[in-house]
Amino acid sequence: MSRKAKKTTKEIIMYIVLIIIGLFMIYPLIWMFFSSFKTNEEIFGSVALLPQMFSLEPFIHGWTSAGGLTYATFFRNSFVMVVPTTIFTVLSSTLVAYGFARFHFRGKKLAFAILLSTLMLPNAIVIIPRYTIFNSLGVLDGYGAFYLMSILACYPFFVYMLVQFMRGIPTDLDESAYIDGCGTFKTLTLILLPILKPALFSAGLFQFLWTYNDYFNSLIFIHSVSRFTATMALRLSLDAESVVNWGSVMAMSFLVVLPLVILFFVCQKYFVDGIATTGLKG
Amino acid sequence: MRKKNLLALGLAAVLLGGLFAGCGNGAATETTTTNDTTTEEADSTDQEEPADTTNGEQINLRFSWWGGESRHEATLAVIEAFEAEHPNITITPEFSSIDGYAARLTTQFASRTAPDIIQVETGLGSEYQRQGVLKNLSETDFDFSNFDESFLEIAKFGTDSYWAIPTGMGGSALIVNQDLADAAGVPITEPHEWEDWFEWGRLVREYDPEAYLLSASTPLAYAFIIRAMARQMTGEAIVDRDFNLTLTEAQFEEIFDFIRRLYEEEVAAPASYLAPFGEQLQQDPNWVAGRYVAAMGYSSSIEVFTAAAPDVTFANGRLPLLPDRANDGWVTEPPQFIGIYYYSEHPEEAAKFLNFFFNNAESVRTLGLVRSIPPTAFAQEIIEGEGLLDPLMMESVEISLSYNGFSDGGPTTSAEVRAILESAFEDIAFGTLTPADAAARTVQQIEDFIAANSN
Amino acid sequence: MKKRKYSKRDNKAFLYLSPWIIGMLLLQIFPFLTSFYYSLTDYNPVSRDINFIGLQNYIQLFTRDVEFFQSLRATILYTVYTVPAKIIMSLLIAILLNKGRKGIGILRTIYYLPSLFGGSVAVAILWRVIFMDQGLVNSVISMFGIGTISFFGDPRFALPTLSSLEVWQFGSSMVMYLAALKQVPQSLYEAADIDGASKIAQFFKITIPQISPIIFFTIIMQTIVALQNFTSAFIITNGGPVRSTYMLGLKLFNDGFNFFRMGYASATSWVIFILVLGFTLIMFGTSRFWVHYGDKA
Repeated sequence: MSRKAKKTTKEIIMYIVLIIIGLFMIYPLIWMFFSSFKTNEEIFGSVALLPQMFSLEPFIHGWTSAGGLTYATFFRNSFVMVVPTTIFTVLSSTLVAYGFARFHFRGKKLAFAILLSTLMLPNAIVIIPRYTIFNSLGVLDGYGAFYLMSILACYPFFVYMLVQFMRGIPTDLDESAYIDGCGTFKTLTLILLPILKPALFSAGLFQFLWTYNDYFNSLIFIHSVSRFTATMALRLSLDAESVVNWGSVMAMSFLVVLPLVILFFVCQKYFVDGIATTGLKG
Repeated sequence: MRKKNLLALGLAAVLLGGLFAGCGNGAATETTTTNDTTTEEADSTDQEEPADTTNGEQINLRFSWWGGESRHEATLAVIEAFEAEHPNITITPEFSSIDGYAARLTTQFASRTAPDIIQVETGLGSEYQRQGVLKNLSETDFDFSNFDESFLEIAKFGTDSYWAIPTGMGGSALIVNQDLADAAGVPITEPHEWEDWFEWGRLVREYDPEAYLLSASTPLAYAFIIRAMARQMTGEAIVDRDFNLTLTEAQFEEIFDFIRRLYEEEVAAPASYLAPFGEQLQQDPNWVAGRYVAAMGYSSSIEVFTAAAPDVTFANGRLPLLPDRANDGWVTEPPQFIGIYYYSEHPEEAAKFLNFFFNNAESVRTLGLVRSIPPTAFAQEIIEGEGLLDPLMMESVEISLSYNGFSDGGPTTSAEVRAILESAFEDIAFGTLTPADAAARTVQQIEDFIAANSN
Repeated sequence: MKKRKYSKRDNKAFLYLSPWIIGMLLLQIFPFLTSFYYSLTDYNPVSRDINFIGLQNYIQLFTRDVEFFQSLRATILYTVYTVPAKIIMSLLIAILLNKGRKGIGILRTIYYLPSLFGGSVAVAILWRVIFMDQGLVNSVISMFGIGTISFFGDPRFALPTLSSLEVWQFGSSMVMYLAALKQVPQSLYEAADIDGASKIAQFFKITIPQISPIIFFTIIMQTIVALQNFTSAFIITNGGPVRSTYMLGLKLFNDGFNFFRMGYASATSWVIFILVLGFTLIMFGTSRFWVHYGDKA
């Protein structure tokens, strides 16, 4: 066997392995899609993947089911909430992370410890005092709470994540830029950000995803159904005491996850599309 | 160099500016999105009509409830009808599923921002009353005259006033698969005693090794068995309103031993099989296939349970009794309450809405059975006239009423005591604790609960 | 020499930190400190009664609350089951997906799919259906002569099953590794190739050290998330059966929001805080032996 043939065989095996594992990953999406067409009895009473019949009815029914509102409203709400939150988070976290990663100042260790500490308490326990603050700021029952949190870099996860990525970049790069007369801000935008592009994209993606999928914070901060997000809407009609049309729930669950799938597919190349660092550090 | 500094400063300023823009955006979406709601449409059209009671002042009430599709739709329709009649009052609906409903209310109570009108879980009614977040309805204009007085005792929570309105009638129910019961020769629809279950359980297993007499999933069965048996023993709720534990450790052990035998003698389906389905009996394929003679539940769950197995003929079982009992001890409880928030700024308007909700024939017709059998004879007649009354559900309410039903509502139904009992039930069903150990732990936990709550 | 040069510009740090400083003062510190104060009280959020009771909540947690130790055990086991598995799995897959293969975009998307679902109800239903006694998994394992396993019904299996679902959602770490791998200078590998180092040696000598800040970060974050886990237990098992998946995050949620014992719940959350803090400190202690930062060249 030639070396090339050997390499090709290896590649093929690799693909087969990747695809088999991939099937486990994609199964739920496929299941969700086909379950949309099933009756409750089929969903809970049988393991067959394919439904007995196809009809668009569950999608039509699910789209309009929630008390006079349609998913058009809920999807719009989701994007009105998620897009600014994501952008603000990436912007503010980048600045703060830069402050932590590339500057020395008195009390830095303490400040960083505080930043990390705020990550360590479970969300459920800080939500009541936080709710009280948002109430006095008048930003409840809207997306103001989310905007405010993101503008003020109150998602320490992202700050810390970006700090780690920045610290992975050799300082020689920005030092030489600094010596060349670039200010700190220009060093950030011209030197660091291009290298950080994959990290920034992943931070943005995570925040998009997590805010989009959030149920509990949204439920607490948003009262009016007309402002509900798509994720909240999915649960609107779930009730132990009335017959739930699970086909419609599956149909809408499928639709709700679809924008995320598309977003990820479109963005995925940017995770690996940074400007490769040159071997300054050797 | 200087310039770069200014740039960074500017960016920070923009960020801070964005802070306010952020709030502004929130307000902007507020005005755009509200156009979609059915309710708020009413308030824009009705502006010019003269207000009927208050001096032209616009009042907004918030009403929160949980439920499924049909409940949401019917409730929104009643709100719309009310707003049409009362142009000076708008009602913001805040509905959701039960997931996180209580948690959101807790947060709102903590900040005094709870809605004016609140649908309350049955067990939490007395808790909320005790903690002072419910308005005394006897001090409002709400008209209770259509309600059956003995049933309304439930809404007094041991005081002399009414604190909440039962949204419907309901009680413990034994939902029976008539086909299987007949085939296996099990007369569970006749009056019987707890002890009969063991013989019947054997008959069912002999008839069909895949079938069981009972589907007893923990969240449904613990209340059914423990609370009813305890009351048949003592005539009291397990923890009475004065925070006394009425049941002795020996009595707990007796009840727990009964539960142990149910599982050991295969009267009930294995706990480990049923656990994943929780309260969602309708999701169990064995239920869908009709492999249980009976399921324990509430009359309000009958519709869901029977709908999941359309090929089965269902009937109401009678409720089991102890041969030697203080009373028949079965529970009659509304599926939920509706109350007015103590700190509501407009309790009179809220009461007016609730009058419209419960005592108006048109509303009653719109609401139908979305909150179980209506609590007033007047509404029941209307529903029956419309042919909406589910005979099976109605019969189950009548059965539980005939078994001396009154509510345990009080500390026994608080979420914490429920969790203690449920956890004991589960430990016995799984065999992880002996009845004696479970009894000792339960008594200790309830005593801790009592110590933490009575001050 | 470097130090002096830097100190001149270091005053600007506060400019960059300003959003966070405001946010911390306005939104973070108050809830953080209040929760500690609450843990020393019998705070009831519904009645808003609050009395200082000293260490009583903590004493009850450790001396009388049988649930607490079960929950603590479940929480720690869950962390032990999920964190290493997730880290290793995501790292391996990231390396496989880092190459410019054909159709790599679709593969990457597929591997990230599970992480897109979050706490979706539909997925929770799917698990129940797949893992129930008559479900897909049991019909597959019965072909190998293994008897029926109640994955979510048997207290011995529920926690591992739940953990495996968490591991299945390894996508976020994978994406971070993909991003980190991109930052590794190619010249390092080229030099290693010239030296004739094997691929495995390159992986341990170059790849791991180069992305170690991100590995460190994911270990810390995944541990924090696992120790605080609430969603998966809440959505799929609700803590059962027999409290085998009743993790601390779920317990404190029930105590605080459903039993109205927010003081007690705050005490539980401070126990989690101490656990997380302890773990983080140990990790930071070890970090100088294996984490290589580019700013410490």
